[in-house]
Amino acid sequence: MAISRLVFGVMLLLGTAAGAAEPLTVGVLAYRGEGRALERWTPTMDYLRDALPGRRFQIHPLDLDGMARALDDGDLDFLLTQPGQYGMLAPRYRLTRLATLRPADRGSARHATGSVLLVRADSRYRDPESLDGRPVAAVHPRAFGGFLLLRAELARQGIDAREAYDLRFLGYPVDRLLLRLQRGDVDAAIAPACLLERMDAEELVARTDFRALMIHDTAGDCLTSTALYPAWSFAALPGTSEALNSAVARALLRMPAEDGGRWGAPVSQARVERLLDELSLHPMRPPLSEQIAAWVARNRALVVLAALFALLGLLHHCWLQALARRRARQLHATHARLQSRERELAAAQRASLVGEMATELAHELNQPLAAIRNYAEGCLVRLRRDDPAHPLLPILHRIDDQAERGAAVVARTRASLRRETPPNRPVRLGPLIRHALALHEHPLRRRDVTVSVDVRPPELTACAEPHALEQVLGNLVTNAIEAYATTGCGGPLWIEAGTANDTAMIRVRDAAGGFPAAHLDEPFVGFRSTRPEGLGMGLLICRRLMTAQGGAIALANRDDGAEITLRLPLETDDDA
Amino acid sequence: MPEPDIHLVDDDASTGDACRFLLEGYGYGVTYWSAGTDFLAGATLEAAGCVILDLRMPRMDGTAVHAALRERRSPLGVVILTAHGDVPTAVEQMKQGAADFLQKPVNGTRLIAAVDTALARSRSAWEVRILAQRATTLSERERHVARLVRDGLTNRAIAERLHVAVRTVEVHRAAAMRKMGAHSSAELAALWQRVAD
Repeated sequence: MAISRLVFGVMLLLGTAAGAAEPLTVGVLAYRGEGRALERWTPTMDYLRDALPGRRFQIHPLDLDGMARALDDGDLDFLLTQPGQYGMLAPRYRLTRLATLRPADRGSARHATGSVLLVRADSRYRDPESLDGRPVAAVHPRAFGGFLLLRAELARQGIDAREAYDLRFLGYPVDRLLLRLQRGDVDAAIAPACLLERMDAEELVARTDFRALMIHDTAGDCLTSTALYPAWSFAALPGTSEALNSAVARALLRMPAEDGGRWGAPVSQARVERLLDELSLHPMRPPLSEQIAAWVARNRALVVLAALFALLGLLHHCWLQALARRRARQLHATHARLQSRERELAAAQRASLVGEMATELAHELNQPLAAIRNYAEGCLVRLRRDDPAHPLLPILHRIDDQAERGAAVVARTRASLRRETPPNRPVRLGPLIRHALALHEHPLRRRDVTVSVDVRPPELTACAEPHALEQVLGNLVTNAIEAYATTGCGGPLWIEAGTANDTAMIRVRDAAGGFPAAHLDEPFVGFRSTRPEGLGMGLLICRRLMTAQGGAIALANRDDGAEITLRLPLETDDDA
Repeated sequence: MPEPDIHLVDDDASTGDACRFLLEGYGYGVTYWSAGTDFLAGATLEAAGCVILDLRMPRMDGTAVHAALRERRSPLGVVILTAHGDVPTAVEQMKQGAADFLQKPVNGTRLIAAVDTALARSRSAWEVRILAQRATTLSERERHVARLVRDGLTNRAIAERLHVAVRTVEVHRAAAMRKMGAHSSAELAALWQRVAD
């Protein structure tokens, strides 16, 4: 606190002594380093101080990046800058040009801006194309004399310096360009015009050690590869007053020529702007990417809203996709379940069919075997009574034994095919009927059979073995479908479930012509079918499955169709 | 008592014929029926005897014939014959009063044993049936006396119980014995036991 007050006091004292309240800061591009910038511009500052009583001017040497920072921070009152830089900075910082330094002697490059492409005098490079892929030094990607001017010139010759050359941006001060080129670190250097001549004059390098490529014919006393542009402009920042600006401009215009240069009225920026345009660096017409960025910045709210909507849309889309995927997975699972159930049922039906055929066969074979045994034994009894030592007695015994052996084979085969049916359990008939129908959905639709299901009460529960009952219903539905197939047209299929006389009852009825009379007389006989390719085992299987469940099956004709009635025990309390 | 008959009910004529041949070999009199309905309509169902029923027949199967016999309180003994080893159904028929069940093809010895069991049961059932018929011919007082004889009371005790003369009891008892076909008081007691009055 005490120190800062002291410093402030000293400054006040100094200010009073110099007759000025506060020094005005003039930013300048120190392209050859701070020392040279101070050396170059201090006489001008001194002149201005003397010309404007009560004002003090101080030089603030800056490189390109430092200048942008100082401008952003509002540290500067005036700016000494080159036309290219001015063109890029003016609109953004609302600069006002007060005067332009121009050569006193026209055709001199000393107070102009130009660019030169230098190689070592002994190098093999003769033209810019031959430098393709070689290391080339430059100052800064935005340096006007140090890079941009030559880049534009090369572009006119069809060379994109940024693509063609291995560019090395060395930064300020620019002297290091020539030093590095001389040392052989790079094969060429893009340098401001007259740098070589100045350094030669200062005996830092020898001019003869270097050679310029694409020498521009307008060049005067300096080697240059490009056209020349005005060198320095003295610009005011918006913070300075109109009166001060006028006073500074007047003083500069009155200033005597020094070092072959003289301040005059600001020259046109048209050439410079055209050049910046070519390089897509024009501040008023920024590149498309910058234009978009600017628009986005201006319409932030709108952009955010749009982005939000897009995001919501995307989320919604993803959500729908996920739903669809899940639905598809569920459908797939259901389909797979149905298919596996269908396969199981088909397998059960096959097993039932084999079992039923074996039973049928056993019955058919047993009858003659029984007859053989009985005849043989009948003979034995009679013969033994007449003559206990009759020679045919052992033979009759053998006949009996062989018949018994045959019967045993049949019994064994049948026993191995018989499947133990699982015990009954409470089964809700509504869901079971619907499930059985779902398995026959396609054939029903193909035959144009419309099914109506009526279960009363809807929660009706019977004591049954669900798989067996499903198989029975499947057989009956298949029978109905086949019956309609023989009539050639579709029709109704009624399935009703209810209770009657303390039993659960399921009625399956169609309108496809019904059973033949002979069929109803002797309903459950195997190897008989109304269909040419059928075995006639379906109803036999149904009866066996129903009997195994403690139920019953009855066939009848009603109206113009078959009616099959299934009976099952109701679910009793002790079952539950 | 008439010689008990054996009825054979089987839809398969050749098996039926073979079975009859076997049974006749053992000395039984056999009547063959090819359908349950024919048997129920034509046979004497009130007599003692045996019926061999094939379980599996078209139109009217063995269980239905058996049910019809029970309904008519026939004393015929029932042997179930099954070709398809339908054991649960056969067992159910046993519960309903069948004497035995046999699987085809049947062994002669087993068949004879089953037939004999059925005949014995049938005879007993037939006798009970006859006794019950006779019992209905007794007067109220004769039935009372017969009941007390069965309970082991002497004539004197019965007379005291019924407040009648001993002579009167003797008359009633003699009438009951004659009507029931008993030759002694002990026999009357045993017969009345079977009537289970």
